Amino acid sequence: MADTIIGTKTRVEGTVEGSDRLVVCGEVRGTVAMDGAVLVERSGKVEAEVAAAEVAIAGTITGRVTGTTRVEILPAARMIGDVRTARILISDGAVFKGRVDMDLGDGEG
Amino acid sequence: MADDTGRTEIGPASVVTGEIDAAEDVVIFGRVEGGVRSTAAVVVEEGGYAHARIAAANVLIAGSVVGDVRATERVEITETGRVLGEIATPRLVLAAGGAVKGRVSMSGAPAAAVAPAPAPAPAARTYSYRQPAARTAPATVTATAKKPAAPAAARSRTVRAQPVESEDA
Repeated sequence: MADTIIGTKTRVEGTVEGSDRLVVCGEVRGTVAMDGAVLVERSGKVEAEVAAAEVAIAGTITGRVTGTTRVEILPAARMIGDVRTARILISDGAVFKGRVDMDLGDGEG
Repeated sequence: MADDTGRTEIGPASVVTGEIDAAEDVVIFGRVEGGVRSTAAVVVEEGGYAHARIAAANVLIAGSVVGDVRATERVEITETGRVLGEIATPRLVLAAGGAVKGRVSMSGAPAAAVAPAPAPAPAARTYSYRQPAARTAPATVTATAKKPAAPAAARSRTVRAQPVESEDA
């Protein structure tokens, strides 16, 4: 499976969508909609509405995040915005400001 | 982690709509619509598609580009490359099989002297691009002098390339 990589010295303004894994080392502003995983690296800065199956944040995200299967906020991450997901992990050291909305229906594990 | 590859890649199953601004290489396997700017290189890989303005130091096209391409150093179009748009660059390499439809202007460069000219046979042919005879031509203009675009090596070399619209692909 191929990746889409936004390099450290790159800035994307607009929409990134598709079914590759998205790795953000640089900057993205706008909208991110991926079928698979989105990884925001430590150097990554995302100011966007993010929707993906899995979202892992080691860098900074400002915006609403939807991770249909899971969202991970890793140490050193800075997340400002609401998270909507089935499973969430917030690591020690991470900064998170926002609401968490988990589907409390028939939990699937 | 730390997938920092020092470049940006748009994967084959990804679409970026908007502007990409980079100080590193941008390699497009997927699709980009909008604009791509880089102080380094922009590469549209085979299978990649850019409906965008491209501006970079170097541009390599093996896929398809619809939009203007501007390079400060070099543009290379491979045998699988397709460009529909204007190309402005001091140096251009167009491989046999590569297709261009649009104006090519090579100017403002010491390129002429340096030109490595690995350009194969087809480049030697002079393509005379025929305009669809300006429909809205004002009737007052009587000058219908249709000059065969003499190789005016005067100012900036401007070549109008006829598409090689090949049968493959």
